[in-house]
Amino acid sequence: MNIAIVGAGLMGRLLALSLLRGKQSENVTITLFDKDKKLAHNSAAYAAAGLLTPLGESLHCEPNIVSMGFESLRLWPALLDSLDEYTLFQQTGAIVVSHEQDKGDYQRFVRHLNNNYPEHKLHTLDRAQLLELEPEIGRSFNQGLYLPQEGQIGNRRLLIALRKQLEKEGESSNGVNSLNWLSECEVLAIENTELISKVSYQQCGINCSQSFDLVIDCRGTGASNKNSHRACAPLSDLRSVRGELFQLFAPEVNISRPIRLMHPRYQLYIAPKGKGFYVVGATEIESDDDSPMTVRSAMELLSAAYSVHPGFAEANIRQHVSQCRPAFSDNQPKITQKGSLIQVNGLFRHGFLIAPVVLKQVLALANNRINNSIDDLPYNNYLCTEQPQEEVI
Amino acid sequence: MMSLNIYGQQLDSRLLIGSALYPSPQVMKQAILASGSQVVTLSLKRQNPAEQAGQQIWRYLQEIVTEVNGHLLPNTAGCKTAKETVTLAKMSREIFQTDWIKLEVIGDDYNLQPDPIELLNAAEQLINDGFKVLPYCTDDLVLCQRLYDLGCQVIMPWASPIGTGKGLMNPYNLETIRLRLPDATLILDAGIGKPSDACLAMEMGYDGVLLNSAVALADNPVLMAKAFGQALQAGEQGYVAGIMPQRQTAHPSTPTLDTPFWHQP
Repeated sequence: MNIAIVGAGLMGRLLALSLLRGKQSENVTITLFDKDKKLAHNSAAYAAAGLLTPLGESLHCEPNIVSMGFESLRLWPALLDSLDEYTLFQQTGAIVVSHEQDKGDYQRFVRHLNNNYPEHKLHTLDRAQLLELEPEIGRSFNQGLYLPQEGQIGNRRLLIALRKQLEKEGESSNGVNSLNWLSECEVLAIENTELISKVSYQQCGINCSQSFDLVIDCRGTGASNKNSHRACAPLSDLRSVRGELFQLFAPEVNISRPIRLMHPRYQLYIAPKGKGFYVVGATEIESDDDSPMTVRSAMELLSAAYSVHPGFAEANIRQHVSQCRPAFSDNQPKITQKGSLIQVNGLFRHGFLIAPVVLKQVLALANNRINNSIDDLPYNNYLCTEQPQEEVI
Repeated sequence: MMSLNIYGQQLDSRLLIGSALYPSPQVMKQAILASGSQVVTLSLKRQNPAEQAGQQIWRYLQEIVTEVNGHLLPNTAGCKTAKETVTLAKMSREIFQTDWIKLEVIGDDYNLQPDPIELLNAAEQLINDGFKVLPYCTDDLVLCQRLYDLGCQVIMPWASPIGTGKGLMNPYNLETIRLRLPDATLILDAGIGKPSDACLAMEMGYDGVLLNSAVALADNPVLMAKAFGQALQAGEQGYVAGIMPQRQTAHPSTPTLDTPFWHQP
């Protein structure tokens, strides 16, 4: 079985590894196409904070994303344990705080959680309790909210760990690799029929094409109408949402868990990544502009960080990142199958939050194709998965 | 009911609605449709308009206004000087092929209060350039008068600062503006929190209401949009019907013949 995966971001890597490890893996050869280098610096997953905070996101997403988030929190540890390289996974809760001026937004958030997610634990903290949990931010705020089930993941470390694992497991003992990773290789066209799909691509200036039994397209914004011409199976309704974030090195700051700061326009967070590194993000702008961060965004993000902990004043700005996230108009992920082509896209700002659930759903779809079976998909209650209708005779 | 007149364009709905802060574009679309509004404002300052980087969402909004037979109203949110406001307005005229512009020049970052001096300056330049200017301003009578004298047929004083939801902070000022500028199209803009705020503005004789956060930040934006549409209609009908004058003492609606005269008011 010849399988192509187009796009080697988070989903592409997870899918490639899972298919290499599947029951039918001896019969499976995978070609992984990606426009980017293997370091994936242009992927949305690289420009993320890896927050696994379903309730923290809940104000701006539908309940199914929250459910997928909790399910993914349950699935991540086993996935990470199967990798040789260490990836940070933390589930020690997250804290939500607000400045006095934004108290209205904070109260709206608490009301939203109480009304819509009463089954989940949340603890309101007074100053003393806040000091006990996070001694260094307790000084700045009189109250906060503790969401004990929330967590985070080392997003960049995971991309690296997946790369190394794929390189290792993609090599075969008999000299024939079961994984062929074509990086810096742009896909020009995907022609799909019921039985096979043809992928045309350009590598080192040379145009080539190859047929596959199954193509899984997980290109993110690369699959939008703008970035992908008609022959490339573009997804209409897919748009880009610009996000900007900082990586700071602040050895003087000791924050142990993700902090979310209420803000009238964005969802601001500070995610401690260990050894003095913090990610501060993120703006959300309806734009497909991926040019460097603007001064205004920089000031908003940095002043937010500084207002949470004055120790950030002496932090080094290690990196500023801006990248576009792929989203459909309902901000929901979508999986579609047309014959031998499966497309998965629209993970928006929820890539790491929901990736394991999306992975299992796509894998089930792919396995049905590989095994010629029609097994039920595991997460039809959470995810919109469009499959070809069986003809009724 | 009469239609709303914006620079000669007749619109059935008196509600103008913003396009920011919704949970998703789809929810925004449903809310706009539920509100009945035919004028949708949008901000382009942060979307790198020189590169037209907001094309996707702009196209989405264009489709919505086409569906409701309405108009896009680009705004200059985020601008702080007349110069940058004029530049952005010209860019938006090119992008959206409309000479309507909601003029917003912010003078204070903390409460996003408009800068009256830069606003007048920008309004004058844009009117001379053929724009149909809808200025967002404070509830200062003299400022509104000056904007009207410049040629702004539509004036949009605030109810309270943007996004606060505090409602009509100074009804006296707003009523005075209505009384003194009877021929201007007056739209109450910013600070609306609940449907009754919008209703109150319409009862005062305002021609319309512009809002965004009150709908976008509601627990159920679509239902709230519908509520606002109905509140505006109620207020407008109340104004047209003629509101009874207030009295100091109670007057029984039914004569109480069996009450001794010394007990009657």
